[in-house]
Amino acid sequence: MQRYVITRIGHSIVLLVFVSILTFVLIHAAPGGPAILLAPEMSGEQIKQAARSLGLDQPLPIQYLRWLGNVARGRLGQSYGAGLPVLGLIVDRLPATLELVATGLLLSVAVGVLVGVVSAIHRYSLVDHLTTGVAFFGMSVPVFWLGIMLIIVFSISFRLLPSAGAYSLGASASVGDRLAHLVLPAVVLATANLAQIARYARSSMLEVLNAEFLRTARAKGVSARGVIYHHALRNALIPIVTVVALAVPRLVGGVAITESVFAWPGMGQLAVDSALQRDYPMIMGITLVVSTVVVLTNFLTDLSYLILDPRVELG
Amino acid sequence: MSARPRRGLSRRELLRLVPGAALGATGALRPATPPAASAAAAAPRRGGTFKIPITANVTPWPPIGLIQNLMVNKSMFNGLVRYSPVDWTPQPDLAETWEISKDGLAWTFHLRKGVVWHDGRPFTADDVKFSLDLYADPKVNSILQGNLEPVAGIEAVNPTTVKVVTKQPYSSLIELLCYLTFMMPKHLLAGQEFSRTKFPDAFIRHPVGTGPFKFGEHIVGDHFTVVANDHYHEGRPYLDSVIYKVVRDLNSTVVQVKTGELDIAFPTVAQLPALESASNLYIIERGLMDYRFLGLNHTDPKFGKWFRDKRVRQALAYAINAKGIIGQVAKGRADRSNGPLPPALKAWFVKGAPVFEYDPDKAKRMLGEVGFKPGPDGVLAKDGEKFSFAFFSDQGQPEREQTSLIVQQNLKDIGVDAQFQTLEFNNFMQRERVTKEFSAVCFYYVTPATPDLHSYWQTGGSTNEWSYSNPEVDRMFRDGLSIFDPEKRREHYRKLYTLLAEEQPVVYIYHPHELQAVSKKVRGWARTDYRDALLYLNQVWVEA
Repeated sequence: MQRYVITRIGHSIVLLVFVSILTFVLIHAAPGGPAILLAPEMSGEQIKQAARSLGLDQPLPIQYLRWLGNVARGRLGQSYGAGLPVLGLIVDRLPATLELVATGLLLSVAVGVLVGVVSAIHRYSLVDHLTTGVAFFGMSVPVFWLGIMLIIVFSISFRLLPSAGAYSLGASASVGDRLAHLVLPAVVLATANLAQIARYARSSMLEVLNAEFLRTARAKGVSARGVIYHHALRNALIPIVTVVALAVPRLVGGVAITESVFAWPGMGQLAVDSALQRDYPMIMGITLVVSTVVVLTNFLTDLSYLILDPRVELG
Repeated sequence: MSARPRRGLSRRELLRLVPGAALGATGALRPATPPAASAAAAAPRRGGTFKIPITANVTPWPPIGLIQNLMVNKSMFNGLVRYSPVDWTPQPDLAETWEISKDGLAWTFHLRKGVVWHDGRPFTADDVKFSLDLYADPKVNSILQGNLEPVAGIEAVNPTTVKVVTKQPYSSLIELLCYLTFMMPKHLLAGQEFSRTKFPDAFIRHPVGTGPFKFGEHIVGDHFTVVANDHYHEGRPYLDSVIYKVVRDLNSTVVQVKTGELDIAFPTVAQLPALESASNLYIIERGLMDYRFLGLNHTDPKFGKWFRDKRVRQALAYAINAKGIIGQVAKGRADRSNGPLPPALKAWFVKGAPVFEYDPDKAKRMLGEVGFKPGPDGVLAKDGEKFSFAFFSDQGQPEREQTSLIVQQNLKDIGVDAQFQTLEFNNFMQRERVTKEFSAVCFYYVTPATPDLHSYWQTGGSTNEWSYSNPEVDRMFRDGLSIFDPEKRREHYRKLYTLLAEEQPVVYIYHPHELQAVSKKVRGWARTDYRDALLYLNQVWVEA
């Protein structure tokens, strides 16, 4: 077990370095330089001088190694756009993103599992076909389109919910206000994953319902309800855990778009802003934090199998 | 305002929107008066919040410019002088009066007494000297460096008197000092090292100015809040706070101004139809210092030799249907341009300067006289070289993209093969400013409100992207600096801008008007373009 954990950590670090190299090359390959160098009043000479002071005139490998060296010493550098340390900005923005991702995840798992189980039990009924149809729609609809549609319907036409932000600016903070702001982005974020989770839950539930140990349970005289809740569900949970683990990176990806559409003050929006502004230190910092989260999630998923399923052994 | 827009608001509708408003020559509207129901002029109300959109993250550090920063800076800082909201003439701000020495080399500014920084320390002449020295310092690499280049020295004569001495007469200094030259506190910044990319950490976390609003809160990328300064020298502002909300997408600002999540937005003409139904908003149109053009690279290795020929540039000007562009792209909300100065800048706009009205036949004839002949494919060529080049515009700007497409078609009609491409903004700027890898661009410029635009048109000027060079123009810009008499100065620049219009260093197309969608709750918003209206935020109030 100990050896397994150590090897996995080694793998993770190699993976993170690889991701950071890839990101670094990609953002520097994007044409045009950082927005901070492009005030309309600046002359070409002034722009060159500013680029030199940022070390952008150095060859790329040198720039990368310099960044890596700083990271190893725990320094993520200073954002070009805000002029403040990257780490502090990320820490400031993380709670809002976690709030949104956690809500989206809970919503999609709760509703997804419920819908999947109901579909599995009432296979080929009207309910099943209806949920299957809705699930397909949810999987295929683009996040930004859904977001804009919801804004048009609920914010502009019916004036029911706010269209942007995490809370009303200039008003006193209240739980109700925060929840009202959370509804639309969380629904949008949950939709795509909800559909996927529902499909997975349905098929793994079906698989379990037809399994031999359930026949045994029924034969022993356990009630139908007891069969489903005590025997079937627990075993059906294992593939669902996998789906949830897979959903986390998807949520992190989806959250960038969702946050942009709803001007949600989280990391996703910060990432998009930074990319547009070519704020190199900020992009690198966010990439590092997000990829660490994803790698860590996968690691924890693998560990949870050990706990949930007695048949899984360390290879 | 000649062409009647097919979509968006007509004149009549605009008048209905703003009771008692009349359109002036520049299409600017008179103040929105309260509806007749509340005929008695309401007394300004104290309190409330004004929410303004900005498009990017803020660094509240005046030397680096950038629109989102300067919008915020205008509420927290003052200059020595500022533009009038009526005609952009220099008005007192922290300097109450000023005089110029006989030889035109020394400017003496008498400062307002009793001004304090937000932290309670008194504002003095030392702060003025410190700020101007900072902006002029090449190490700081500020956007104002070029404007202050002719300054030889600054002296704090006594706590309320500052003397600025210039290397040669510099008659436009006062107009340029109105342009983003904010005063900063010496006691918080002295002795620190700054550069274009290295900021004083503590100061940008908590900026301190003398302005009507003090720093409140900054959630990076979300909003920047400033709160009323109780000790402001012109009296406490009416508003309790101003919130600058970061809204990346222009369409979102339009949505949010409709829902009341913002109090103002700056829509494009294309977005007007979406605002027509909004009964909670005034739609206002203002002139501003902005010109749109087809910029030509006079040192382009292949086409520079042709662009350097005035006849070719004039032919291109005849070929481009500027009136059509104003009608189609700007929906009539723009003025025909004869140079960098818009009609809204009444004091300096040159009425009689030549305008090259659309005349494709004349354009063809002129190019023929220069020696261009159509080839078998209909494209003009000279000495075996085709007149066929690429020109760029920045991505995601429908107005510039539509203008470019019309320009492309207009030029094709006379046999000039100009292929239009959009480039992502940063890439565009890099090519146009730094590497000069372009033949032509369709772009815009917002300039200080002064006729002294030498850095744009003089040989080797710091913002002369076109590498345009004309000894006569150089001489006239130089001479203009030593003319202080207003009448003589006006006459001199009239001649200069008549020559520049004749020259067409770039093809001047139009001056857009700025559109503002303002909540009807908002009162006292200055009647000028938003960049300058923000200097007068202390007069804004909101109805309950």
